[in-house]
Amino acid sequence: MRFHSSRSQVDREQLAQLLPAPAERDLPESRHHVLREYLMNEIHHQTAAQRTAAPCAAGATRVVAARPRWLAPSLATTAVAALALGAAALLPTSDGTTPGHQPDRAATGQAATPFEVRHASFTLVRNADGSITFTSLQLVDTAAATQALNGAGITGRVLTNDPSCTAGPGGHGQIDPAHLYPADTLRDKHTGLDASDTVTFRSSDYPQGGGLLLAVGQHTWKGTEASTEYAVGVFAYADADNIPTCINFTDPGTGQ
Amino acid sequence: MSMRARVRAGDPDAFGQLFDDYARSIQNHAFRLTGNWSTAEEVVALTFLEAWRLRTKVDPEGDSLRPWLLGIATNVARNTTRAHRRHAAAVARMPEPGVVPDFAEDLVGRIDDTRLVATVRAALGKLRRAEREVFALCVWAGLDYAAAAQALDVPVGTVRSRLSRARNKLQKLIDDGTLQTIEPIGREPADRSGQVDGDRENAARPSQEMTR
Repeated sequence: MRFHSSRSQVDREQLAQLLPAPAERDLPESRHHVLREYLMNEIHHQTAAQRTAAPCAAGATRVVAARPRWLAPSLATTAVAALALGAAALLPTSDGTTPGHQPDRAATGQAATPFEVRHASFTLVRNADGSITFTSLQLVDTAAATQALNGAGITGRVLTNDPSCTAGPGGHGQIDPAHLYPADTLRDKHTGLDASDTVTFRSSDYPQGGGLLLAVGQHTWKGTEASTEYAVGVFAYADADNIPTCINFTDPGTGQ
Repeated sequence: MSMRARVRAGDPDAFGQLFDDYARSIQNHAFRLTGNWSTAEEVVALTFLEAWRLRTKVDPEGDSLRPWLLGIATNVARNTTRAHRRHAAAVARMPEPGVVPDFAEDLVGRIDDTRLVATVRAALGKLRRAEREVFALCVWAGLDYAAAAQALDVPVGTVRSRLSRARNKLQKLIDDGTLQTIEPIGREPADRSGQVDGDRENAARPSQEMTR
């Protein structure tokens, strides 16, 4: 270890001679204060918001994902409805269980076993609590991603937008709201606040016999900050047989 | 309670402490990656918002959280747009960027600094982004390979190979005369011909223009 760190030190010093760092600057006292205050306010703000909006505290399922932009045109209205119904979904059902609190099928027995797939186009990791975190690094290899998803104990498939896929019922890119779990909620489980290339979900997000659809979208930014981002939508299905085999969110108006 | 435990538990004071300890480090790192002090300041704010968001993912074991924060800052600098969207509400409340510090009392130093920054950025421009990030973390922020690997969430071997590629490219630039050894601040002014060829003006321009 000592050898490695000293060698690393020498390497770094040699490199610093090749290209010295620009001079360091101090964050001026006033700016330090302003930014620190800002951070503390945001933390208090978020802590307060979480306290008032945590319907089920311990073990609550929270999907970090948000509505991807590319879903926006066709799903905007339904997504609003999904938000309202999504909140309702957290309330206890008639048999007293809460969907978000169902025991994890994957968590029983499998969770202890580390499971991690690192592919060029995605990573899929089973967390210690049994939940699965999926990150889209680029437009995913859907076959490999589906295999990884299933390998982690989740029924379902991973799809990307396919413009050749024929329009499905309801104009939601083959996602029929009636097939979703809970029914009639276009339950992408998104908060609508932002879009993310990383989502976390668990097997208790869908009932026995059901499954998840992970829809990976791509958004290309143009201009000075040109970049391509990926966003993953998670849809829970009551019956895995109804999970579409292709999706098409192409907006005929813009071709986006 | 250790700092890591406090951060994981969401103790606001721990984040205040982290800010006091590392904001400067983060700002300098962000400046080296973006070439713009206003952007760097924004990266500082976003980095700490991200750190708060990711607090439960902090490894309970380990020493300083500086590498973790530098890793977050690297990601934020790489894609400020994404960080903006992730913290849309908070960004709306973000303080206006401060006035870029004026070094009028040391005009010569400022000119040299600007020139050095431009030259260094032009040289960095010859590297791939991943190589640039590893270079900034290991060489300028002083992380060892293991810490840089942890910060970027890549294997140590990857850090080593990226740095090695960066070194070869820079050495080649020096060998073929494209890049002459740059004199750091505090020494004699660098020979004008030591400029990297190409458009210095462009290299000095903010690499990212933020919109609010």
